[in-house]
Amino acid sequence: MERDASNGVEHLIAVPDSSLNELYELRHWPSLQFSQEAGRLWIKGLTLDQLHAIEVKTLTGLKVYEVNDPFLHERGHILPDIPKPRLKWRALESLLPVERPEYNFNYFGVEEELSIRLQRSTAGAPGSAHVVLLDHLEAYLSEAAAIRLKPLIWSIMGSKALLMGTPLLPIPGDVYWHNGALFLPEGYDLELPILRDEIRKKIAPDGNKHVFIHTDGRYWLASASGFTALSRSSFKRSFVNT
Amino acid sequence: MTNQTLLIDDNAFLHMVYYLLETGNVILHQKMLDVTEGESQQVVDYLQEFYEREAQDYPHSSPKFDGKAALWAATMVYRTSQLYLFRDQKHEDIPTVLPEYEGELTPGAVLSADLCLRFVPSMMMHLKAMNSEDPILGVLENHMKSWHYSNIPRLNDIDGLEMKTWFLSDCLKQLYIDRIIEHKNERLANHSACKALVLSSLGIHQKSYWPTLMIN
Repeated sequence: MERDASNGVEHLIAVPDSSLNELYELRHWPSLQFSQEAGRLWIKGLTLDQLHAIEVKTLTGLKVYEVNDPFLHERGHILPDIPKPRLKWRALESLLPVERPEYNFNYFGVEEELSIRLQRSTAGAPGSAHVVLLDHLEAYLSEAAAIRLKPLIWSIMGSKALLMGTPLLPIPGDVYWHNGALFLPEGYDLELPILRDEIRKKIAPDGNKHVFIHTDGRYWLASASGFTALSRSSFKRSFVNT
Repeated sequence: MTNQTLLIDDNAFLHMVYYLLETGNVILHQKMLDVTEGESQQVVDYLQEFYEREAQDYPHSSPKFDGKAALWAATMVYRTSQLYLFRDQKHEDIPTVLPEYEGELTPGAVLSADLCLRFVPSMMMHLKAMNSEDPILGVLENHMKSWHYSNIPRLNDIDGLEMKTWFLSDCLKQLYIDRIIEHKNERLANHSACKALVLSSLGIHQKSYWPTLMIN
């Protein structure tokens, strides 16, 4: 932490509303707060270094005040200039929203595709989907503690079962984590994580499908309905006639 | 189930047990009703069918249904429900109305009796709310001491619990531990016979399954 070199004197800066756009220069500084009052924007939380930074000094119509309750002194003035206005503070980021531009699909030619590439990553949530062999699942279920089955739902995919929920079961299989839009293999993330919503929209525009991505970028879909709570009886019932 | 519905209409015992197991509601009666052998048999048949349905969810291989224990437990619950509202018995006679089980508490007996006995803890709570000095409470308490698998939700006094023979059955052992975890009975989880089993059931995800658990 930087030491407060201002001897505990709090500083406020004020700029006219018209300088709003210039404040984007300050947006990346943490813990700045702003308030709007009578056509002026007030900002607090600046360190002494920031106060002398070029980004601040070049703001149009800038006034720097030292706080001496209940008055404000303009910097360098011995006598108070104005009474301290009553201000409500909010995070500066909320005043200056950042919008991500829409992904422009038209930018690619008609034949061109959005390619999915994964890379190894330590980021990611705990696994919440698990593809296991039915044999393994059956063996585990026969002895499992009830609490382990409780958070899970499952569905059959050929000779395999897809389990969803957390925590997953301690049996071998392919584990996927959910990045908010897609299921990715554990230990991997999209090369460009920012594209996750666009990829999802392109593969499965309606919400009733889960999208699973392989490590090589291929994907498969699982219908989001058709899952049932995992239990020994639901497993047995699924194979009564086979 | 249509068969069952037909039978239910003229068998009050079956009626009560059926609604208790399927809906968790107790039907109260105004007087002691006699039960014929045929009616008892219908109840046993129904309990067996229910047991086999439920055993689909039991771990390992489930012990065989024990009709005698199941009937004893059903009778006990049936009579307790009658004693809620109406009593012409003297206090001293209560133990004869709710007699002890004569037989061995095998794993099969414990699980078969549990179909009905699992409702006793909440029945006791209601009885207690009406009259905390009710002599029935002592009798039931005494029974539940031996049938403690059905009493796990309110089991406080864990001294002298006998579970060694029960735990010879992997099925009952796991069900016992599951019930400790389900009802978060921390005291029982710390019992020397259960501690290691509870921990291995929870595995490395103990914090997410049972965050408040303290094992001494």
